[in-house]
Amino acid sequence: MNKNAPRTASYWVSRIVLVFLIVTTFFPFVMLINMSLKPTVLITTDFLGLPKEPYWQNFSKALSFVGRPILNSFLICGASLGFILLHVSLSGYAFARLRFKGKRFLFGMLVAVMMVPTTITIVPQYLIMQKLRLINKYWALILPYIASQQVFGIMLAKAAFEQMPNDIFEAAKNRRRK
Amino acid sequence: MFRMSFRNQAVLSLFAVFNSVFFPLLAALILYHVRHKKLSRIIKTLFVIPMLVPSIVVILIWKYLYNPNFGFNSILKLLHLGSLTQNWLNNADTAPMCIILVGFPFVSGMYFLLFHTGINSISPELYDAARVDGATSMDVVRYVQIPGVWPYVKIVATLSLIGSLSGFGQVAAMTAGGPGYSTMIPALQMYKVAFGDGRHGYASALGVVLFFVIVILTLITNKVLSGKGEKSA
Repeated sequence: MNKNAPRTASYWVSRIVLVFLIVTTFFPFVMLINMSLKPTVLITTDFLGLPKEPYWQNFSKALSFVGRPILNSFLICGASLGFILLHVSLSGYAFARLRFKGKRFLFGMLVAVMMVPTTITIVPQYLIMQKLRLINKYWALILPYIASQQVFGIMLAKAAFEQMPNDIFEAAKNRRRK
Repeated sequence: MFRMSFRNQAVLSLFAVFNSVFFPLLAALILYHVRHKKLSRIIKTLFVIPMLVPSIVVILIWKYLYNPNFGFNSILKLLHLGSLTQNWLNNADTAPMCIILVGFPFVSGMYFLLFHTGINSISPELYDAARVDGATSMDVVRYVQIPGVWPYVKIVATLSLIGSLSGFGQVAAMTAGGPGYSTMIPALQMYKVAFGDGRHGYASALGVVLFFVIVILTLITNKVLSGKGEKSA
């Protein structure tokens, strides 16, 4: 284990395995970059060879296309993130600090929802969105994102609020009263 | 057809769980034994970098590699094994294997990081004790590290099982269940029945069945793996 240990067979075998794992991990990505700089004909005829002259047209095409999709992603992600943060912080606080009837039941429901993989709910989700006439609108993506992502967030927020010392909350309340 | 998709799914999930436990664990274990601090940090970073690439991009790269005109076939031709070239994804015999092998060697990503953390959180005293007892590094792996990361193995096995049962993006992008139904899996079938045929009731029933299968399999996995953990610990 120490630095001066003799380099045994297992040492070399494990290092070779490691190098093999790294090389095979990166092979597809290297090929991706390689292919991105070649015209289509060259990919078919000379797959592994490096391009003699980078074929930048691929990139100019990709860049001219990618603007709108990225804007869409930003809009959807930003909107759902905003709502998620709002919802998660409030309900996390409620679950951690407030006492109300049915709290344990509601939290149990939340955990149960977490157990259901999102794939399984896509069919009913689609139908709900269709009934709400939201198909082909941003909201059809934003609302399900909020619904599915908030569950884990509420757990996190609840744990965070529970870890905070009670004094902080008391102090905040007292200050209000004054 | 329904039964066939479940059989495909069983094979796929079996390999998915094995791959996502075995290879990242192997890499993390070897990485721990790399004593050179700087080198091991570089290797760790190398394994984490592919996480930045969206999964659909990875899947599409692999789809290109399976292309009949270039990709692996070009490599085989280069090795003078031209007779082995084939239309990988359009052959019912090779398509399932091709889907399983997507992402080889399966190291990069979340599971590797989990194992890495797990191994590093084993307390140093255990290593010292092992060294005092004259353990070789193989012994350390066998009796200290494997039991030490076993809780992480459990988590990763469960997560990858659920992931492989409920995710159909990979199969949908690679073969869309074809050729024929040779790579059809229940989740993809559900999607196709619902949005291809418009039979939402049937699709929902498939979803319910799939959900119960996932729950039962998750429980079984947990039972089996926790039993093993106690034995080796």
